[in-house]
Amino acid sequence: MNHMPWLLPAPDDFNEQCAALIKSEDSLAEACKLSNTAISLNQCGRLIKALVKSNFQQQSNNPPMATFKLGIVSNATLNLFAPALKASALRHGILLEVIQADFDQVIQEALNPDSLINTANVDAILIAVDHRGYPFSSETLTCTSSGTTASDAINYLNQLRNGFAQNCGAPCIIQSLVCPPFSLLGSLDRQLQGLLKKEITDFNSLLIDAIKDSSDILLDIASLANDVGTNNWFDERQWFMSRMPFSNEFIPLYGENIARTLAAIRGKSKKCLVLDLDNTLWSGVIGDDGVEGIHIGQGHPLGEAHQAIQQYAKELKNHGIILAVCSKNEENIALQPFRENPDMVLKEEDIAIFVANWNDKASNIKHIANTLNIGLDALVFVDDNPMERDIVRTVLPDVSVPEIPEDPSLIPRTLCAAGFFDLINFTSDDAQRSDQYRANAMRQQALESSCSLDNYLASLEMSIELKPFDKTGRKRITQLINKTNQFNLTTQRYTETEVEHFEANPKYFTQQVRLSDKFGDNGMISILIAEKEDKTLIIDSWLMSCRVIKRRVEEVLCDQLVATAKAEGIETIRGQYSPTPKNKLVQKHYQDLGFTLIDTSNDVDIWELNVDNYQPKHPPMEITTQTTKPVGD
Amino acid sequence: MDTLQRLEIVFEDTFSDSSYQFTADLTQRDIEEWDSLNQVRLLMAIEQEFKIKFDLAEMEKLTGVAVISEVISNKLN
Repeated sequence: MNHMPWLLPAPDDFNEQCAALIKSEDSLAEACKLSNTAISLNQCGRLIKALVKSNFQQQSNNPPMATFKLGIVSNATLNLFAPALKASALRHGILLEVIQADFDQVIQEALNPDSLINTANVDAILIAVDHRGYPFSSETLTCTSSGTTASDAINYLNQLRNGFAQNCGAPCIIQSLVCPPFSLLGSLDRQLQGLLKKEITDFNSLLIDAIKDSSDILLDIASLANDVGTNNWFDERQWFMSRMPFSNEFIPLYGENIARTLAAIRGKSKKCLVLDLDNTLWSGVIGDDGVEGIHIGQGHPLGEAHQAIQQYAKELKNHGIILAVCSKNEENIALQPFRENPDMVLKEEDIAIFVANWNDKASNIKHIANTLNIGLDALVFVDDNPMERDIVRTVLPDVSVPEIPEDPSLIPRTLCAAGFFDLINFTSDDAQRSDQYRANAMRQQALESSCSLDNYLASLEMSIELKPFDKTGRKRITQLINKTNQFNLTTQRYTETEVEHFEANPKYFTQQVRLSDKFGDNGMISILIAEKEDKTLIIDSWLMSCRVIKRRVEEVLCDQLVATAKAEGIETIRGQYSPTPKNKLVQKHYQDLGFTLIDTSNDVDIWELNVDNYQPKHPPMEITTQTTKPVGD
Repeated sequence: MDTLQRLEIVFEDTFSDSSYQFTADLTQRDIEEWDSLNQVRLLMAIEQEFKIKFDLAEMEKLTGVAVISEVISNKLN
């Protein structure tokens, strides 16, 4: 059975393709392509072995990949996991290295500063411990907890977390616990203290409280196992024979869920859902059937199924996902249901960009990405027509194009299971994002109607706020650092713990920047981190959300940077531009601000500014600054 | 395809080492990779291919192609 129905099935000649990629010139690209199918556990192993045998690390045309080093501890057998995790990570554009602790070495790894994990410089630690690894139960007890409670188990978990926090510093990814399919006293198991179901239920809710306000991350394996059914998830034979924590048939799905979490940490969650119209958002063809002929809404089973798809899209939109429409239609006809049919859950104003014409869909999708100023890899394209899906996959391989079940009633669950929009945290900025994109479209119109850029900027009535990093901003700062690709001078990625370190260390000059204007609040949009070294200030990171480029925000920040530098007796500010496939936009950033190029070796441009030669730019906006850290923060 | 041919494909998928000769006489001793962990992996792959379930008692004994194909045939009939 295929547990990942949103992926194409693995090709029939999978083994031959694996053998071919070893000798290919594009080993990594081909491995990524194969990984993006519903591969089995054995195929994961074969794929990773083939990639290791290839000389992809010496190849020059590798696709851009993020890297990640994951430590894993577990009370169960992990030996089969690493290939599945690595293959799943490839699917998400991540080259994953796995540091695997020995069997059942969990608390030892956490508490010993010299342990394998603590000395491996990992980016995160997966605590792959199931209920049998917590002090609930012996390995064979199945219904009752052995005299200990959920809070004892949480105490044990906190010991692990504290150990890793002190000895390693990387965030922990912690699994919620799955209730095994056993009941001693029936429904009472969920209610009676001392029975495992009750303790596991309590554990999962205590876990959420325990990690709130920390940089540790929840991995909701309980939901995953519920979705596939715990009678399928658990296989006692495999546990008794070789301590496999769950049926190995689900290892690829489990790996996919972990890879998604790592992708979210690296800021690779999708941002925009691009929807087809006919037989996707409604049943029928608007151009042939007309507004009265299509089915949407109550009273018609297919109409209700399509309404559920719209409801799902609407809820995504309410949580910051941008919606776009891409349809082969006449625009005025395609808009009719949105305007005239009250059963449409999605309204015209929910759609950031509405593209209905007869151009090919790949070009239209490219246009959507360009207009929104987001990468193609941030798009998910949903279309009931397999041919359209195939064309977009071929022409735009960076766009995610899920397989869509023919039965529309199955579409929402398939899209949910694909987890394109999985996030590790959700800030108030996220909730406002889709409104911000709409406001941007209005700004675009204002620009077209004003004669000069400066007039336009003045007409925006911008108000900017700059302040050092603080606890309140920490989550959003981390998110920006990890997902900003285009306006990003060095593309340095940092964890929340590292961000906290910059906050506290007086050697670092940090700035978080918020911008609002008469059309709305853009939220936090720019970050700067610089390190003081004697009389030089070295800019480690300078990045900005692409929603606010060409608004002279960087000039305000530079004015502020120079003013601070002067006040602290600094003579020189040094910045660098490290090119990536995505940040060409800022190649001339330092030049535009008046810096001088002093070195271009090692593919990195180094720029310097003598602070005495700097002419403040004073762009037209209201500026609020806060230079000292607030008391008690 | 008969049971042995289908089994051969499962073996090919499970073991990356292809130096063994697939015959009815093949046993765990002939494939170095065929350790206790890969035993579980092999048997789960066979279960998925043939849509059958092995008993725990059987799983320990299924250490050669002959006995595996015999148990499969019994289950399929």
